[in-house]
Amino acid sequence: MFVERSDTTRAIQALAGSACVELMQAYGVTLTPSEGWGESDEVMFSGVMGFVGDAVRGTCLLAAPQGTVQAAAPRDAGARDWVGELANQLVGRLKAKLMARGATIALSTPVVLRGVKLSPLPRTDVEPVVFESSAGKVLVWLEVEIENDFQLGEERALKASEGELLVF
Amino acid sequence: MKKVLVVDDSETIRLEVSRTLGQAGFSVLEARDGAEGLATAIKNPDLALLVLDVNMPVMNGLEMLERLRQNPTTADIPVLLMTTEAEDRLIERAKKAGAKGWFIKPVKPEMLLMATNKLAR
Repeated sequence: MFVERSDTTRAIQALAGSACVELMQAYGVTLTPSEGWGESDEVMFSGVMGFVGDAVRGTCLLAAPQGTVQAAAPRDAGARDWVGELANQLVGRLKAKLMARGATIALSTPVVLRGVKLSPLPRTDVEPVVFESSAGKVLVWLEVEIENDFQLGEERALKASEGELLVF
Repeated sequence: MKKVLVVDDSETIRLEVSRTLGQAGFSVLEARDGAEGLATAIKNPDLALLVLDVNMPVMNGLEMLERLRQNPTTADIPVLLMTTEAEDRLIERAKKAGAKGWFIKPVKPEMLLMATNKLAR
């Protein structure tokens, strides 16, 4: 049976937060922890990815103003496409962190939202993580269910990590 | 001019790969998912390399790779997977299907070019 447990959700959300900081840094945007998402009049883009595994399943949302998405984007990238790819790479990094702690998940493909005054309405008492950057805020929102007896294990090294090439 | 096919559902990733390899003298074709990629590869069996994402709509990259290998026209095209995935089971599946390499995103342009020069036929 799957359950929502706030301590594990918080632990996995912390992993997603670390993954987001690393991801945005890889694209030249430095994030620092912040508080309060607020309801901005800026146009926001949001990528949403689902994931499912034997012990962990849930949904991850990455949201940011258009300017923040563009600051992390390669030249000529469209915000709609790029926020979807950022969400994909964020959950890819989260997957690696979960695998290193004993949980394997399969990923969906991202869907993208665009709008103003987007605000999260969490199902549990776990608030989304908010970061600040020189280009604007970034929000990472995770909702997770786990197998009742599941615990995150000690971190172990994986065969390969982001940016690495394996030649067969 | 050597031809490379990039298959990725992100238009931005396709653009980046096309720009990097195009500037290095490769002719770059693009496809948005595995089904479109498979059709393009069958029409272009002289591809020097196929750069292939894993998680895509319609047909994922590993299924496309396995179908390529079943078709004598495309069976020998070198394939480089470029993906957010780092799961051992998926890497082993690609290796078993005859992929030449596995790149974990994000990939720097100079690394992509180095890998392409190394793996393209």
